[in-house]
Amino acid sequence: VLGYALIVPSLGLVTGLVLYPLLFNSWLSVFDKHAFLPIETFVGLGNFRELLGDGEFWASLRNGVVYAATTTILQLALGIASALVLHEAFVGRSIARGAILFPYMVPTIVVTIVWRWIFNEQYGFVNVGLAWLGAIDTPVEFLGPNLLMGTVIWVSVWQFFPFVTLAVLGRLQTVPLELYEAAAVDGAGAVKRFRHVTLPQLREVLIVVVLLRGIWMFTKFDTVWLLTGIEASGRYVQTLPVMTYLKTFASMQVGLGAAIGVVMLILQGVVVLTYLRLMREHEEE
Amino acid sequence: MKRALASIVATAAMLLCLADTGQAQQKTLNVWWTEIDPGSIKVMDKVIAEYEKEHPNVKVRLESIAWGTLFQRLVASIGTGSPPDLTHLVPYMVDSLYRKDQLVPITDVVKALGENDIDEPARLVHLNEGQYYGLAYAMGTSHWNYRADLFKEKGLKFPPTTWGEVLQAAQALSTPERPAVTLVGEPFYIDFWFGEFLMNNGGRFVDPKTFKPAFTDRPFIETLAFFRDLSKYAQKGWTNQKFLDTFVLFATDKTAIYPVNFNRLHLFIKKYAQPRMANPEIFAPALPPRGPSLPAGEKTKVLFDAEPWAIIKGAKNVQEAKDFLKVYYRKSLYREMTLTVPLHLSPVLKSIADDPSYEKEPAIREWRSWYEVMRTALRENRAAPLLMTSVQERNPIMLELQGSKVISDMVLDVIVEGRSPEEAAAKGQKKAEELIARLGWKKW
Repeated sequence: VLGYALIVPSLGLVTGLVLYPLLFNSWLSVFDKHAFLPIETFVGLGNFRELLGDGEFWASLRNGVVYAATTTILQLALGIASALVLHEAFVGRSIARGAILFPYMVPTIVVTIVWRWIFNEQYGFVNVGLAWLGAIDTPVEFLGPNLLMGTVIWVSVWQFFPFVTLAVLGRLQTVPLELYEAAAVDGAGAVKRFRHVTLPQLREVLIVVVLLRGIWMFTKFDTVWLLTGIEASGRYVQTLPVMTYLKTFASMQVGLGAAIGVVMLILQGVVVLTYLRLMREHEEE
Repeated sequence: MKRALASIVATAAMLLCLADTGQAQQKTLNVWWTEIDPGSIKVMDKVIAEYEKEHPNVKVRLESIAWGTLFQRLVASIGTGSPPDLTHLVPYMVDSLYRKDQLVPITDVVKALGENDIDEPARLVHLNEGQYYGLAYAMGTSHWNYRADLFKEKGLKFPPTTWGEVLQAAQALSTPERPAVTLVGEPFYIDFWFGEFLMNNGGRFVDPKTFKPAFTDRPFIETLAFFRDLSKYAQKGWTNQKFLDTFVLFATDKTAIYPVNFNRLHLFIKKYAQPRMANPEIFAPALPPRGPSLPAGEKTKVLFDAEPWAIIKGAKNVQEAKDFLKVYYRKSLYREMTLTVPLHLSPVLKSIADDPSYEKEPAIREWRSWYEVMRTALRENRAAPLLMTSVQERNPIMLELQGSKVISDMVLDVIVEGRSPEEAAAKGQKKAEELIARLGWKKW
């Protein structure tokens, strides 16, 4: 009895914080419901059918996939590279290790305001600098429809790569030095040591990092919204979380917003399960 | 041991009760407002101090909300049953929320201030079935602003009175380094601008009786085409430029025509323009130009910028909010508040606005022509609230229509994606019709 009693708090938390919101959202998704008026009509799968025929949904999905995939890959590349550098001994390493966490610690609102200022067409540091160097005649529209996705990806990678650095650096510090020594004795150079010693040792941590960062980037709302949501050009990088917000709170179609949430959950579930299965199969081989 | 435990529990319970009683007496009045001028915020602090002095059991919590996000935050707060006690709105939001039975009438506040002392358009715009549901925190009107010196230099007609003349001037004043026209990239403002253009081309967003969108009507299509043509002379990167940034652009000689601006612009000109240029002779205001479909003899209209205070149903401190309004409009404080952004925040109380000493205020004397444009528009009933065509118009669906971005999407479809106005309008029409039907307002 005591055993059951002890798991009640955890069960309560999981039910209240995970299960209830999930079920409530799923329930909402089968209704045509106004954001604040007591108007709701059961529409079954109607919201999902509407989404499938909505060009805005497909564009948002495409943007979300491009954004999540690109930012995750770049964060991995930058995170691993910086972790390898910080794993080496050099003067000022402790300061560098602290400093590299800076982007991850700055509040998103500050990050977006600063980068918007840096990339501004009229007075931004980058455009003014490029003009001063004579590299451009007219300002580059970093925040315009054509380059906005690249800008959002850049800012997101800058903001979140320290997470990868931290995770990888932590694992690197536990890799036995004997492995490197043995590889060196066998004549392995730096590249081979990285490929055959470091990477296999990082495997577990990278599986988790890819999973977490992939999920977080696919559901990322704040950075994308704060960087692009207020302006008209934001529609060219609109992702599914932003579309959910707009459908729910701007068009007041809560049911439709909830349906997008359900679709995101299913998509992520499929991707995560496939990913884990592939990893397991690879491990068994 | 048991007795000791019981006394501890009893003491704790008593303390909790006492604490609870203390908290119950102290109320927090949540006020959302949108004014950003530091001077206005200072005066608001005075209003709060005076109110709290008179109501020691109430603490005012003032939260600044950007116009562009006010609506979404409001919807979220109403949806979760925790609206602010008092908030700024836009007139079309008042109408929409009133029709949804989401507003508390503030007729008693209006009457306490003196119904006849309140400027008529500012008062009537929120009058529904004999009750007032909002009261403008200040008022102003829009106008078009031109660099008169450049017009003179190029021998252009000043001011342009038709869209055709505006486009001619834009072309003449544009160079590769300095495009002539200032456009703003926030959908919230794109919609308002479009609304002003549309109104001055004899168009409307929806049929007032059936609420059927009128996007495929000729005036609407022409307005999309005009927006597109105007954008050919607009500053680079306008689709992502914030409203106030565009004021700086215009003030710093980077553009020469500013359509649909509000009088707040003069503060930016004073702050950022070269001192020799910072005057109304250089930055000259004019009433809006007319589109080709505006019936002959009909005068063009300006936007009536009169965002009201309103109380949402479900607010926890309705009476306190009303009492707060009475302090806000207290003459000494209110006059001071309106003078923090002179011309733009004009008083809705006639006893202040018509007081000869008010017009003698330095800023009003200095920017007299700007003030006159506003007075003329108001005197000639040429001011229509944002996204509406008159103070009498009532339209319950503009809130959702504006929130859905359908209007700015059409503008972008035409300008950025190169669709024809007809094609963009047809797409917007379909989307708007579906939205209106879904909301239960379809009457066609």
